[in-house]
Amino acid sequence: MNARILSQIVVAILLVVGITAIWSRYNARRENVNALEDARWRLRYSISFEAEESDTEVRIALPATSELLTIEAEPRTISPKMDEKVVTLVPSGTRELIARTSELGEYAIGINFDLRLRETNSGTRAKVQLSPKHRSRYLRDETDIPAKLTVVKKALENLPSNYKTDEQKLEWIFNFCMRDLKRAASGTTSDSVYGSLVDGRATPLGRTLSFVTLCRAAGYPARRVIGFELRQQSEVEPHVWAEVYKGSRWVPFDPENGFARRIPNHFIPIRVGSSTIVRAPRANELKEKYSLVRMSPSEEALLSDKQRASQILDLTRLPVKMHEVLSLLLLLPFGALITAFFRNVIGIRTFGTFAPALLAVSFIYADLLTGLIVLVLVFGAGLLSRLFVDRLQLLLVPRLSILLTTIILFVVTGISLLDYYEQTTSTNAVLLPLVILTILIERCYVTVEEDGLGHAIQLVMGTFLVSSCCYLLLRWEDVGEAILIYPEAHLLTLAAFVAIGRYSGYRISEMWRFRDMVDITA
Amino acid sequence: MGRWFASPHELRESGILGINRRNLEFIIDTNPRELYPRVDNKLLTKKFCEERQIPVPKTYGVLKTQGDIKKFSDLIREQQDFVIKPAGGAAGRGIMVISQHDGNMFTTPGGRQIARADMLYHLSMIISGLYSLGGRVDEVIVEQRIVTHPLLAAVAVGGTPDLRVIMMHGVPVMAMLRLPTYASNGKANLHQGAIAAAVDLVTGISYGGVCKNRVLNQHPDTGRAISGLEMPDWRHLLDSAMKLSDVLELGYLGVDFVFDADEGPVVLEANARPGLAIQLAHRAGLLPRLEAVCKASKPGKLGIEARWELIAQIASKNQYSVS
Repeated sequence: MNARILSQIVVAILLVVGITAIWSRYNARRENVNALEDARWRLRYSISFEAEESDTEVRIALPATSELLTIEAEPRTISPKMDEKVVTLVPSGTRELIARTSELGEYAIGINFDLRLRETNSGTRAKVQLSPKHRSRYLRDETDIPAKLTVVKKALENLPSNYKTDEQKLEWIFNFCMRDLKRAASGTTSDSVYGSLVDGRATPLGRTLSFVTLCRAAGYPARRVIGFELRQQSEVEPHVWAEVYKGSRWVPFDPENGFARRIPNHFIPIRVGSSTIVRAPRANELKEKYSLVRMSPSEEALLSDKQRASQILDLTRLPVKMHEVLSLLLLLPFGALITAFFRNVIGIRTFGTFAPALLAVSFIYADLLTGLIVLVLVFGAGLLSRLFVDRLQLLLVPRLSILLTTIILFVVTGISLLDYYEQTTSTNAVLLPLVILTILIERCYVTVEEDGLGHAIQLVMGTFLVSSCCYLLLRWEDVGEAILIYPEAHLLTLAAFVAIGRYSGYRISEMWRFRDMVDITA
Repeated sequence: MGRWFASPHELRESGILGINRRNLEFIIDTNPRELYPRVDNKLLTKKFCEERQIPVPKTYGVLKTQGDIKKFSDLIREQQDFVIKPAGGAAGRGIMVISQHDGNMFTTPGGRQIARADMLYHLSMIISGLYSLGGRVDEVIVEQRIVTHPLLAAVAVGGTPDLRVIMMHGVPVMAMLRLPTYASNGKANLHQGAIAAAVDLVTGISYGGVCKNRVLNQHPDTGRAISGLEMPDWRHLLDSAMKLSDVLELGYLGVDFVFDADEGPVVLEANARPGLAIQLAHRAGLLPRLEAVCKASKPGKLGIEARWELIAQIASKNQYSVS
């Protein structure tokens, strides 16, 4: 099998293995983090009622799933005498369980929801089109949302007249409901909008209803949402908050808790557009009880810390002190890739294959300023020793050794001088750039002798250019961190090397070098 | 010329060989690495030549160690002129040409004077590997100085013109004449300012002329025409090149000749990685010629007669009119 085909096969294998490895480990890690950090709650509905008429219907709103909230299980206990079905309402999107019975008697329904809540930052809500019909639905008067009441209009007259934007007006309404309506005990007239506005005192429900009412009266489609705030409580009351349709989105507002435009992830909505979870107008003695219990992450998530072979690949396990050195080591192949690319594809040559990568890495390790100082010192020493030592006509190796000694004396003096002027440096940091620059300057020296100054300068510029590119890429912290977690990414780097190694196309420098030839021969 | 770049498509259409392709297609496969010393070490190359009666400059002596430097004076006592050359060097590095000396002061053809101490120092530098590929310890070859053939002497200045032939599977594919100038310090090194002219494979006559991408018709220092020069003993040169290529067993090869006034074409060195500047001198790409040779050599390496026929064929590829 010839080398070209073999190389292509190798590249394909490396790419496939590399990508699979990274992808599967990435997913496993993410799942693991999620498994541990996701909150798991059990929400229990206990609903009981008496059916005293034939054909009694009970409509129970169920939690809605979203990208943040998943329902892992939903076991129900319903009497066999009841028919059940689940529908999704329009336009609110509420999921509803409809249980119907034709027999009289006492009934109990129990539903357990195993909820899983992601605690990440949720993005903005999706855009939603609101048809004129639905728009008017959310602007209209309802029994508990009396938008046309005089009290409501009077309250709105307090809106400062110089407020022009919607945001200003909504903000005013929100602050009014949140701040200006004082607290009242629940179950009183302060549950209603009329009572709240007249008394100046509102219950949590009254506050939200007032907000929705004032919004509608001001011309903003608004609705209420009833749901739960997930916290450990054996008996929990649902909470009602509001949503306003603005900018093609439904924006949440909770005047009771003071959340405007964004509501924490752990407020989960159950029914949108109403203040009750269960609707059963013809049932008697309707009793609703809700409870919330926190659940532990799965067993395997808790066991994830256990020693496992794949942990060898995760280098962030190692002590933090080692991270810097390890990450620099792992970044070197990227530097070599850049050098190889510059050479074989662009046509810019450097002193040595690894030198630019090493140089860049040493500057990252040492910090740019120290590196530059060492660079200046080394070159200064090099020039000086060349000027003086040339006349002695020494053999090559001793001549280069004098160069080394001069460099070291310069650098040590430099460090001492810096200390004298009370600038601290780290001596360890100096070592790496010093070693690499000394090697480079030796090669530079010899190249000047062998190939002339012009060629040497070309190589210096090339090395400088490629080193800078390496430096800019490698000091990007995200790259350093990522490669520590996924060192197998270098399988992809290997594939790139094989690909560049078989690249038989023109170098960009050749596109320039032979540019005039194509006119003649064409 | 107002161009900035030629597109890869245009380059390919023009048959220009790029360095990546040269390495991957023509060098890696056809030049086994273990044979490189045959061309990297000039002493070895000379040995191969001498075995096959391929003319080379006469070797006066070889200095292998720092201690051997003492023998230098004896070596050159009888010689009026000579050339000092690193056995492992390339691209003309470290070569010193001496046209006359008195044992203490050495004079180059360009008139530069070199003191004995400096000469010994230079010998020492060569041996310590300064000019050798890879910096390895090297040897000094002291050899006959080639006096340029009169046909070319008038054109060149301060140094010896040389002729490079690129060989593929033993068939010459392109030839280039390199003329030193004052700018190149008498060296036939294109990077340092020497002039290159294409040489027609069939007739051995030069045409065109280019110096660092500029078209030239006359030598800048002598004013002589560069094209229309006929290489002395052209068939003999190609013959030597083919013989050498066969004995070295390298598939892709560059052979450098100089023209001695008495002996005619003489092999200076061979190169396993000849550069691509020859395409600039020809204003034509190597690819069509190389592909023709590869195709013809598929069943097996061509015999000498078949090669001469092939030369005639490929010489007419991509040639513009002699101006």
